[in-house]
Order: sequence, then structure tokens, then C-alpha cells
Amino acid sequence: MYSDLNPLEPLALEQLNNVIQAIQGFSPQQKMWLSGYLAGLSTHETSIVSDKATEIQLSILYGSQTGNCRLLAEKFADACQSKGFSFQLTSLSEYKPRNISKEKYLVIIVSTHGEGEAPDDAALFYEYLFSDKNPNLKNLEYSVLALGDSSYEKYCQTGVDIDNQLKKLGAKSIINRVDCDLDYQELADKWQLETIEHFGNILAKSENNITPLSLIKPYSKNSYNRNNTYSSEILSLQKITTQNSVKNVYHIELNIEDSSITYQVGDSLGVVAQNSESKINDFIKNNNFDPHKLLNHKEQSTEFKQALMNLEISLINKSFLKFYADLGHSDKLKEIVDDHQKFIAYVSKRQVMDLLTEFPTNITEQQLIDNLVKITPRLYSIASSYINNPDELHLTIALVESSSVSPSHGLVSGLLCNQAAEGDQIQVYVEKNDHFKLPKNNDTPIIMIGAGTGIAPFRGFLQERKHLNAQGDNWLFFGNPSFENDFLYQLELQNYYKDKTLKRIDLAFSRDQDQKIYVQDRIKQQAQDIWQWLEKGAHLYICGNKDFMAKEVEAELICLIEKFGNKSTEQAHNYLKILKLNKRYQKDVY
Amino acid sequence: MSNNNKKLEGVELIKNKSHFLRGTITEGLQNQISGSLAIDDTQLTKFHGIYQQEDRDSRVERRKLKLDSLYSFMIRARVAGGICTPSQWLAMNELADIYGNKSIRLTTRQAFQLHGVLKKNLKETIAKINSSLLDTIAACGDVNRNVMCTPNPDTSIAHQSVYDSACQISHHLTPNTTAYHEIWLDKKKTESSVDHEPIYGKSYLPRKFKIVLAIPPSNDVDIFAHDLGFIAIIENNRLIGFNVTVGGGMGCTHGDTETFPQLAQVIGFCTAEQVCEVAEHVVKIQRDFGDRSNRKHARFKYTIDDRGIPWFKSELEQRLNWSLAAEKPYEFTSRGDQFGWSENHDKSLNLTMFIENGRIINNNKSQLKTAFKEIALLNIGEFRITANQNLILAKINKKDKETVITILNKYEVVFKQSKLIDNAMACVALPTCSLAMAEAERYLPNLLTQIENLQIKHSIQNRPIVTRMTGCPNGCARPFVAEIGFVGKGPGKYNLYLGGSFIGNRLNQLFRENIDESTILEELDTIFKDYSQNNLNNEYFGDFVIRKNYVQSVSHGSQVHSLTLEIK
Repeated sequence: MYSDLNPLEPLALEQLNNVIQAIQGFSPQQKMWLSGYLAGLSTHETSIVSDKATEIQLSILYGSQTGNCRLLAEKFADACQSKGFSFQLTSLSEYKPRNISKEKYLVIIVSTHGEGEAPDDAALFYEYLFSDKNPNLKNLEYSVLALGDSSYEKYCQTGVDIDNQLKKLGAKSIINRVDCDLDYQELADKWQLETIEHFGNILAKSENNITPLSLIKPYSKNSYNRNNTYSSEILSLQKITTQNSVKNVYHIELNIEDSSITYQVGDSLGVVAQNSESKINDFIKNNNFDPHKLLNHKEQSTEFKQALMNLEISLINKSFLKFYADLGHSDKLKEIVDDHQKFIAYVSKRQVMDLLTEFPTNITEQQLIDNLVKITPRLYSIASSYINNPDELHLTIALVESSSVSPSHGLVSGLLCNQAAEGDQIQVYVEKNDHFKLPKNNDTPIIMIGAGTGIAPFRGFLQERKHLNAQGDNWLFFGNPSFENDFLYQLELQNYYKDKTLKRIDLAFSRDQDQKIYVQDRIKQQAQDIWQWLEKGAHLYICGNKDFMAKEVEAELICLIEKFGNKSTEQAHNYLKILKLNKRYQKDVY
Repeated sequence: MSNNNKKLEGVELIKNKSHFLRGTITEGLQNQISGSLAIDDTQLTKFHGIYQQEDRDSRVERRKLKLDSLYSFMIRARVAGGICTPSQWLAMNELADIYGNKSIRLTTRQAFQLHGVLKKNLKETIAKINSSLLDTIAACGDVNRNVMCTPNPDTSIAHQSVYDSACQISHHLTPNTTAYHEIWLDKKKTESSVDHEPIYGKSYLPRKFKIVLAIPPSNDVDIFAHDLGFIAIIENNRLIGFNVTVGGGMGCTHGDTETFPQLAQVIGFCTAEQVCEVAEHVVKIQRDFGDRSNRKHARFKYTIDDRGIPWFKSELEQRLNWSLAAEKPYEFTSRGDQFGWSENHDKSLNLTMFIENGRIINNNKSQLKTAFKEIALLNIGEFRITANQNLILAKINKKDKETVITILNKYEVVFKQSKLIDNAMACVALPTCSLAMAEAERYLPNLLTQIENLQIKHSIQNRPIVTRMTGCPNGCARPFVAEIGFVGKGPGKYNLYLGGSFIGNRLNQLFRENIDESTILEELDTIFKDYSQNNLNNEYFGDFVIRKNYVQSVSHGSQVHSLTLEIK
């Protein structure tokens, strides 16, 4: 196409100036994206290939106990830099182990400590590699440098293990692993030279062959909804509170790579649960139902047991209770149905099974499935950013013990946190939430106030704003019982604070001192600064418990608007109302 | 080792840029998002007596939970010569309960350690230590550490004079910076208070520096294992001065033959009045000549070893502008503590008590901590920490003896021990010490029981053997001057050293490398059998293993690991 142009100056000066002008102010990421986009336009008329915004060609990973491996890895990276390779240097402690199956070229520098044990940094990676996940690595080419101390029995064992396991998983070792003793420098230099020489041949070639990058999938039509769910694989299911915590909070990562699902930060995920096998068996057995009885369900012939899977047998709803009261001609039940207070009191402690036992009738299987409602999906605030990682969707879920609140609340959290395992499929769909959205302007400051799992959408906010290199300041208030045991996403937040994505963070750990401290107390302490941020145009977000947290926080907000805005209580309420109207004050409370 | 150099420049740079040990410690204390301080600041807090530590047992698991490591701080309080008052004891006891892990650790440098103090409680803890008239400045870091001194008042009628010298040296060499008072005690820096370190300079010393004073015949402080030592010379019950020793030190690195433990040498004699002057100039020589390019080669012992004693002596005398006198005769006969009751020259009493690994704690064996608290509440006598991590209730009136015994009995504090355990010592190691490669304090008692069984099997349980264990080769419990030394190599694995002398004037030598418990016991079983059958009348174990060629007699630190070279 460019054959008639000077290959070194393919653009006329004027054209070049236009381009330079057009991309003025673009972030490096945007520029990188644009380069791929243009490459895509040139080779195909359309532009869809890879789904990643950037393509790192060579990954340099290190696992260090005393820092020697880190230094060697940095040296290796320096050499790659001078060769002009595209690479990424990552500590194994920061590396997501399952990404290994996406790597093509890999360098690992790892030490061994104690009796053949992996250094702490590499422990999780090591564990993953030897887990039963068996990632397929047949597209991977790698080179391993192992450090050790020959006075130990299992000399360089971690490097040896990783090397062998990579081979076993199908990867190809490009040069023999090198094992180094305490005086490692010379051997390490030689290994580096040979490794770079080998990769140099491949990576240099691909320079002329720019991989076109895709456009991000457009956010508009979600084909999935509560009646047409997507079956998503649980990639990771990790408890993120310690054993000593009074809470059980889980971080869950779902695979949406092959779906058409897209979402925006602030949206919720609907999760549709089924009743557990054991629960259904108990239900059937207690009432002497016939599990295999064929019934007419939604104009199809279905076995009773099968139909029950998707019907609400935990929570008693009013229409079912009314139907049941009529069926059994029970005055007592009718009284409960007619008095809402009594109804609430009654159903708060009972499930459908309890009702059938307490007020026996001759209800048939068909009557049951005709009158029970379909299980209502539970909604959870999404805890990740789609543009940051379009392949995954993350949730932060607290396991509610079913005995502690109402019988129904624990259904989905119990399913996810107690019964499901990594690799299982769950039924999901995205529920848009237009009332919890980041400001359109990336320069606008935001204040995020969350307690407990209320941190979830803010994790997405932070991922997104960092990804976009948004210039607006971010301030987070977070509260939970204990710093030591349930500081959710502490490591991630520390990184956001370090790289200045988080400008300020204020924490309230209620049980860490004699006097309980909650987020609203921190709001009070920082009242003047909050007021200044609001006056600068900050958007305000609250996420978490409706009754305990959100109300108290709002009361403090009114106080500070009165005090620092010199307003009457009524004016302060108005001020907040106007913020709301302008979408500058948004709540996601439950 | 170019990589190490990179890091070393780091520490020198941090000190130099720290603005007299301030760094960003204050900002770090205010940061709520992390239980730790900035990495560079953790180098500086050592000078303030504070080590950042993390719970290594839970580190990997917490990372999975997306939680940062569990950080806490070890605070070391200086106690010159190991002597403190009952009210100071009570202050430490209370701080251990409120902010620490409910135990007090007595150290091999006669200091106090509190463990497990959270960042948010650091400031208050340090302030309270200071209001008890103890302090933590220079308890760690590249400065002169806690000055040690034989603590037993019954050693000599001149004990008080020697102790006074220790306090003078300690005071004389305390850093001048006001950073400590600003950061921890909220003293505002005034315009007029310009920081100046006349002895240390703004980069302080290249490495830590340790000073001890010994009163013969007791070498309880291990005089030869420290950078600078003063051996008290007492004539007619009067302190006339000190023999000066220089160039000792324990720390080395596994597998690095450029590093080694070394014993100090006697270079002459000075009077008690001259002691601070000598100490100051020795410190200044190390400040000027110590190796600042390689932290592993920065201790004073290498300065001496590289340049030789004649050079050092002439440099010192030139700076002093006078010459040291010839060394006076002295004799050491032991390193251990003499347990039980003893009487002083003024007829008051001391009770020396064995404290397992120096740990003052209540456990299912006894309520040690509560017992000492109750004794401290009587406000009688003094608490003296020994160099072997034991405790002396000193200078108690005879009339109070029964009360003390009653309290000890009430809390089931029993001191019946064995010769082996009496002479044993271990450092803290896992789970808090970041240097530890293997267990020490948590494991040694268990191992000792098994070694003792072997001694009983061979009927040598009445022979004292100095046994020490550390979790790494830095040597906090001075393992290289033990008759049996264990130095951690990896989980459950130790290097076994033999042949140190009973009184601490000969280093030991590596006998077996990287062995586990069963191998340790097998080896000792064989040697104990030989010892029981072939020892010459009252021959010490350390001397026996050399005569029988289990190891060689070491005359220079570089020979401690000569075995490693042979194997390679």
C-alpha cells in the first residue's frame, strides 16, 4: 500500500502534524491502543483480533527471598529495554498465576530457601503450578534461572521443580535451566546472554509484524437477563477475612471471557441460585412427596424434584401463605395473612417446610409448584472494572449465616461461599444501575464511603480510574470491625495509595479500641475537608448497609453542610437534594 | 558480591540523608493503611530501639487473603549494666501487658525487649518507657549499643565502681540527635537546637558497635565476643583500671568465607578515669576506617583484622596523645551465672534465677511474670539482668528473704535446673525475627532435654557444657564461643560447632553442616560416650573434642568454617 512512499517517511509533513495534533494529551495507554487500532485498520477492513488492550511479549517473573533474584530480574529487564523488547517485569507475589496460560515467552528467576522450599514471594505461583488445574502451556517458551546454596540438600529445588512442571504442562524450555550457587553472578550473566540471544531472534522478528488490537467490546446491549442467564465459571473463590474475623467475606472471580457480557462500574450482578440437593431431599422427605412425580410445569412435563430446584422454598411469600391458608381453611393463618406485622414476624423465622409441618394439609405436588414462586435472583455490586479486565467479573460477598437473619438471605451467599468450588458454573446476568456511576468527567474528584462489602463498587471505580489515568482525586472512607482481620483488599488499596490513585484514605475499625469508631465518625473528623471537596465539585458515593451506616453518614453530611456551608438544617437538606439531582450524590445501599 | 554492595550503599545513603535519624518516621506513624513503616525508615527506627517485624507464620496465607503481612514492632530498652529498679520493672511489665505480647524478653545484652507492639501504639509505648527513666535510643542501629557489665554485686566490693564506668561510657556515647525526642516525646525542635554528632558524625558508624565490662573471675559478659571490652583490674578491693580488648564479634554469613566470627585481643591497660576517652577514640577510629562499602565487612573486627593490632594501637595512641600501659594479669574461670542465694559484702542478699531463654511469661508451668510483678511491688532491692538472660534479685535485706520465697512458691516458680540447661542460651528467631532461618528459642528447650538424656546415659550430667543456639549466623546468643554451638541453616537444620572453651577465650569450629535433630543426637551420643570414657580429670568438653581431633583448635576466625572449604 505504501509502496510509492519513502519507507522511512510514510507521511507527508502536514499529515504528520495533523496526527501529532490529534493525539496531543493522549495517555501512553491510549497511544498504545491507537497504534494497534490503526494497525488493525490497515490489515483488515474491520478491526477485531485480540481482546487485550496491550500485548506484552516477554514476561520476566522473579521470586526472591533476600532480593538477589529481584536484582537479577531488574538487570535482565534493563537488557531487554536496551534491545527494545516489549516486556513486563513482575514479582511472582504480584503475578496472577492463572495468567501463565496466556503467556508466550517467559523468563523465571527464582531462589530456593530452607529445604527446597519456594521463597514466600513465589509460594502461590508454585502452588498453582502444581495444583490440579493443569493449565495448558504448549504455546509457552521459557527459560529458568535457579538460585540456591549447594550446602543444602535440595539445591535450587524450586527452580528445578518449576522447570520440570512447565515442561510437564507442555511448555518448551528454550535453553537448559541454569542452577547457581552463592557466587551466582558469572553463571547468571551467561544465562542472561543466551536467553536474550534466543528471544532476540523471535521478538525482533515480530517487530515488523505489529499485532492489531481490538476495539473494546461496545457497552450497550446485554443479551442476558434474569430469565436468560449466562453460565459463568468460577475462576477463583477466596475468603478474604481471617479466621479471627467476625465476618466471612469472599472475593469471587467469574469468567466472562467468551460471553457477550459487558458492564460498567457501579452495575450489579444478578446471581440465580438453585436450591441445594440436600435441601430439596429434606423437603420431599419431610412431607412424603414423590420426587419423581411427573407434573405439568410451565407447559412442560417435569419431575417434581426437578421443578423444585428453581422454586423459592426458603422464603415464604404472602400470596403463597394466602393460598395455603385457604387450602387448609386455617383461621390462624388467615389472621397472619391479614396483619402485616404478624406476617413479617411469622415469616422471618420460618421457611416453607416449617409452614407445611406446623399446619399440615393435603397439598399436592402439582399445587405446590403452581403456587411457589421462582427463586428471586440476588443482586451484588460488581467489584471490578470491565475496561480494566474484560475477561473477568469480580464480586465481594459476605456469607450470611442463614440462622442469623431471615432464612432466605443466605441462599446465594451460602451457595457461592459454602458450596460452590472453583471451576463450578453459576447463573448470572448484569443488572444495570444508572444511579451509581462515575462522573463523566475524569477530572472530577470523588469521595467514596463504604463499610464492609460496600467496598465492592469502589474497587471497580479505582480500577477504572487508574486504567483511564483519570486525573480527578479519589478519597475513600472504609470501615469494618478489625484492621488485622478484615481490612478488605488491603494490599490493593495500599498499591492505589502508593501510586496516588487514592489521594486519601480514612479507615474506621470499630473493634480495634475500647471506643467503637465507625465511618460516620471519620466523616465527622474530616468534615471541613469533605466540605471543601464538595465545593470543588466532588461526587459523593455511599455503599453498604442502609440502616446502620448510610443513615448515620447522611446525618453527618447534613451536619457538615450546615456547619461549614453556614446553612440551616433545611438548607442543608436542600443542598444535598440538589447534589442528588445533579447525580453528584449517589447511593447503593441495601 | 556486587549485588550486596548495591544494598549497602543503600543503608549508608539512608543514614546520610536521614537528617539525623528522622527520615519520614513521623509520616509513617500517621499512615493508617499499613501496619508497617516505609522500608528506609525501618533502618532508621533501629537507632531509636525499634525493629519492625512481621509474623512470618501467617505471611503467605495473608497474601492470599489480599491482606498485608501482620506487622508489629520489637522495642528494645537500654539498661546499662543490666540494673533496673523495681518501679522500672513494673513499667515494663505493664507495657508488655497493654501493648506487647504479654511477655518481657531479657536479652543477651542485658536489655529489655517488648515484642508485638502495633504501629499505632508505638509512640505511647516509647513515651512510657522514657517516663520510667529507661530509654530505647541506640538500643539497635549502627551506634554503640547497650553497654554490658557483670551484674553480680557479690563478684567484688568494687562492683559499683565498675558499674559506674559502664554508665559513664553509655552516657558518653549516646547519640546527640534530638530526632528521638521530637518523634516520640513530642518535644518541638527549636531554632537554636542544631543537630550535631561530635562522636558519630551524620552517617553514624558503619555497623553496630558493642562494648562490655567484665569483672574477673567471671566472664559472664563474654568479653572476647565484642567490639570493645574492659576487663576490670581490682587491687585491694579497689578498681584501679581496665585491660582493654578490641576486635571481637560474632556475625557471619553462611557460605561466605570472607565473613567470620572473631575474638577480641587485649591491647593494654587504662585507668578508670581514662575509660571514656579510650572508648570515644576507639569508636572514632572505627567511624573513620570501618568499611562503609560492604555491610558484611563493616564490623570493627574486620577493621582490626585487615590492618592489624600494631596499626590500631599506634592510631589510638596518636589520637589519645598518650600510651596505654602494659596489660595486667587477670584470670577468668566461668561464664555462667551462679544460681541461688548469695551474700554481698554489706550482708544483703542476691537471688540469681534461671530464666528459660530470658522469657518472662506466665504459662502452664509457672506464673513467672506475675511473681516478679508482685516482688517488684514490694519495692525492695534491684532487678539485674545477666548476660546469660537470667535475672538477679539483688541487694535484698535478709528480713525480706522469706517474703520473696513465699511469692515464688505461690506462683510455682521453681529453679531446679541441670548443668546443661544452666549454661544454655538461645536467641528469639522465629516467628518474629526477619533474619531467622530456623527455630531457636521455641526449640532449644526441647533439644536440651534430649541432649540431657544422652548425658545421663553416659553419666556425664554433672559436667557443665556451654550450649547455645541461634536461628541465623548473626550470632545474638554468641554461639561461636560455645562448647556446643547450633546455628540455624533452614527449617529443622543446624550447623553444629564444637570446641569453644568453657571460659570463652577460644572460638569453636564447624563440625557438621546442615544436620537435623536425629543426626545431632547421633553425633553427640558418639562423642559423649568417648568423653565419658576418656576425659582427663575434669577436662572441659570443649577442650576434650580438640584433644581427640573431632575439631581443630581455632586461633583465627577464618578457621571456624575451614571445614566448609574442605567439603567444597
